[in-house]
Amino acid sequence: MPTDISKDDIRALKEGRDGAMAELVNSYTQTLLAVSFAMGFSQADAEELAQETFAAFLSALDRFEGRSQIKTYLVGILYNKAADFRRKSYREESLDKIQDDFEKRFNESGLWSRPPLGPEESVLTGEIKELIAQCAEGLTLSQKTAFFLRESEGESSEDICNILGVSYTNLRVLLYRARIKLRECLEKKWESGKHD
Amino acid sequence: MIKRLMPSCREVSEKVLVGELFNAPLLQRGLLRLHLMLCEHCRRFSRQLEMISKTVEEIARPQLDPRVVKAAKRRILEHLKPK
Ligand SMILES: [Zn+2]
Repeated sequence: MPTDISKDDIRALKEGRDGAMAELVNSYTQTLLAVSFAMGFSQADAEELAQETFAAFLSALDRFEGRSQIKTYLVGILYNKAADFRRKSYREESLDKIQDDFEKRFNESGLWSRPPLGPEESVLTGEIKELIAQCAEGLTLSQKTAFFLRESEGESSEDICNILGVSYTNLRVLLYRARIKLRECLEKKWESGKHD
Repeated sequence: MIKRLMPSCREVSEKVLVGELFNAPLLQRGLLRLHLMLCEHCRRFSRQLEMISKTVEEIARPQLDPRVVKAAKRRILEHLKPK
């Protein structure tokens, strides 16, 4: 798979040359589907998102100035489409509440007043994995996307920030909160099971 | 002295959350390790976060069936071609 497309390829696309579009679709469909799956979209929705992403890219080729990598650029378009797609059903939860609840677990001298519960073994069992996976479904679109790009695609923080349209600080806060949320959820699920 | 320098549970868990436990400056790193040795709560917290990172890493890697990708490419291309 070519890592990126050249200026000539873009020119070929603009001129509608034979094979240029096929090259584009062949090169990036897999990535776009992978991001969509990681965001939690079904196969049909993922394909629709990928298709809309290509269509949007092609209809505004002039806007792509080759400053960013085409992959980063396309994933950025996809992310915005996905956010639109989800907007109706999707609300970013009150972020301050996550922080507040976490702060409340400590007393004034910074010691645990409500110590963490949940699994204490150091072995990651299938059961724990399953619980974490369930919890991850509750992450927001931006959190899921950030994790995917970082862990699976190994994108740089700079590219992830560009794709999500957030600052570096925002990205850190976003991942930080995602981790708090996942741990709280794991604790709850573990304790409500028969682990007492 | 150690007691005064020793990071609090809150500080330790913050470091764990931002993934900076092991790239802190040397002295701080030593104190963080010491705290984790002595404090079972922070130890549990840090282990759980490790498990979470590992699992998220795995689920962030979606299963892609090559046939699905191939079929999608064909349909997408069909759609994009000017009629
Ligand atoms: Zn502690």
